[in-house]
Amino acid sequence: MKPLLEVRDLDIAYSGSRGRMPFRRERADAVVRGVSFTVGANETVALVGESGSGKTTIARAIAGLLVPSRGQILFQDRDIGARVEQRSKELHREIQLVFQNPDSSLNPRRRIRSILDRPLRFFFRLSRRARRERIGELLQDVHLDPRYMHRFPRQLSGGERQRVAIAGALAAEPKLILCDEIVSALDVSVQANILDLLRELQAKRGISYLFIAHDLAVVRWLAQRVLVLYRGHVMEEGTSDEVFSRPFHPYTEMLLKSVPEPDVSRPLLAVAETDGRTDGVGWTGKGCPFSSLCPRHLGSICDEETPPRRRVSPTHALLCHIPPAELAAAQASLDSLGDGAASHRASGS
Amino acid sequence: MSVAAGSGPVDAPLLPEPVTRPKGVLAFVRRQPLTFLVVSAILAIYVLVAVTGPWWAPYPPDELLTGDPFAPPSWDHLLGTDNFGRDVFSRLVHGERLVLGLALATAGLSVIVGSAVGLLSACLRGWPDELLGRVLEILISIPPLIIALLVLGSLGSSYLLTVSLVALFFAIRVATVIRAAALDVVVEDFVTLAKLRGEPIWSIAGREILPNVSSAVLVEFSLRTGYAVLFIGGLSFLGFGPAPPTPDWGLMINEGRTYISTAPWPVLGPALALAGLVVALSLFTERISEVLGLSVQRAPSQ
Repeated sequence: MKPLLEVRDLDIAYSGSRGRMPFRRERADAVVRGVSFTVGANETVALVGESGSGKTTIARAIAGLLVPSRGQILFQDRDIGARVEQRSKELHREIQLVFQNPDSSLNPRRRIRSILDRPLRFFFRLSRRARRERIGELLQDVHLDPRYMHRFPRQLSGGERQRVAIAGALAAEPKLILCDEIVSALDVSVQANILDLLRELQAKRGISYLFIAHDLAVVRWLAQRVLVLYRGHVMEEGTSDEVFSRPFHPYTEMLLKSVPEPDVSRPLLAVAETDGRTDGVGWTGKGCPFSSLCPRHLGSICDEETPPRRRVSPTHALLCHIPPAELAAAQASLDSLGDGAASHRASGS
Repeated sequence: MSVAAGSGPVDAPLLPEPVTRPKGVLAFVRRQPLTFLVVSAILAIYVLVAVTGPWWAPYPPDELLTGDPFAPPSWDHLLGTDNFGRDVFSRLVHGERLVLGLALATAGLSVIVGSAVGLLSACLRGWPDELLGRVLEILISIPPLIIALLVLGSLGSSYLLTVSLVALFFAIRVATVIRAAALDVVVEDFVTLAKLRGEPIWSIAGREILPNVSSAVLVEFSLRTGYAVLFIGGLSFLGFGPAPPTPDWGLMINEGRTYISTAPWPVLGPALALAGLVVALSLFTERISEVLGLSVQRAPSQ
């Protein structure tokens, strides 16, 4: 089956000149390098990584807020690498974006009904009455009381506001929703509700999600496939089960280890393992992007040579000089880690 | 509760309706400080006089020799008479409509034009906005009075020209204020979402941004009305306003100033009326901006 969204060999650079006066050009630094992935219909793909890893940048490029410097973004086999202004109305409708902070994504001076009415009016030819009915349905779809439509955003709680933001995206009847850290600002119990809602909507409407998060537990529970990003590179990709079990990429391993657990005797991040090497702020583009922090650093090969992309299975690949079998052996003691990250969620279901 | 149970329950509407302070006009009025009430009452009287004045003013504004020239205040002539024996109080009352009307028209025009420019500039962002911002900064440094005198002196004065010219000067200042306020709003995600929807720029400016800067627009209108009274009054005083015998306040001050040592009334009357209006408007603006949570940017001289 053809994928809904296909990203091929994407490079994105923030040229420092954007938003400044003309003639003032600055050196462009690539923040995303050679990223490829697909999102199928009715599928959830997650991008994980620490801040600065380029995950939001990728979503912004797909939405059309940034133009990639190289590579292609195909949506239903059409190249959509253009800026949002040059895209068709149909495309605007089919790809929706939900932001992290609903305080900022809902206009504080408009009532909920007016916020939800706009996309309905903009994209569909509906009578006033039909729109009003639809607004009620949308609120019910996200498990909110339809009477909420008469309220202002500030009269809702954070979780309720995020539901309204999701309803706003649903109003356009999209095929793909880009979820940019949409549960990060919410507390854990509200997170669980929102994630339930996303799954339910997917089952009901066949929507695809590109889910951006840094919380591995959330990702493991929601996504079918996962891409682990570091400094704009895909370090590991595979199905959710593959990424969260051995062999791990050393970076994935570090992310899993840094998940806070009740065990206070263990340090959050084993800094000692990096032998005093510092974060690769001044990474020159040579060797492995993760070499400066890697707990399984081999030596000069990691600093000098670009690591090969090693396939573990047809769907699972990682970017490392260490062969997967060796990694798996070295990580034998860590098998419980991947489960540990998701354990508090698994125990709930 | 099972996390993976699919359909979560409807979030119970636990939130009570927000509790607010007692509503109603009366309760609102009671909460206001005394100065604001007095100032509002004064402004209301000014408006009332402007609207109804010509019906009850004791004399027509340009009737000569309603009494002796330079008569001091008396029950027949509340503010005395001028050099032609015209009743100063009646002239004040008749002139009020003109003074207030021109000021409101100027303020209205400047706020409409200035807000539109400021909003669009902020929406465009990037280099067009930065360029426009610089242009506005340059335009703001042009002294309005000198240009106004130059233009009105060479083209001849008319209400339309005066209003548009002064409104233009004010619009530049309004545009910078509204642009600054709008720049805080354009970075919000709901503006990005409107852009992603493919909304045209005027729709983003009008639907998404304007409601969030409306208090700034309101304060600007009130502020500019006060400035317009002063500025247009000043132009009339300098002889670039309506021609005699129009009962314009600025003109009246000019006409009376020759005799100020012997008969101060024809100057004092309009001068006090003008000052009262400007002070009242200024205090009014200050209070509403306080209520709306804004600070008024005071220009040193307008």
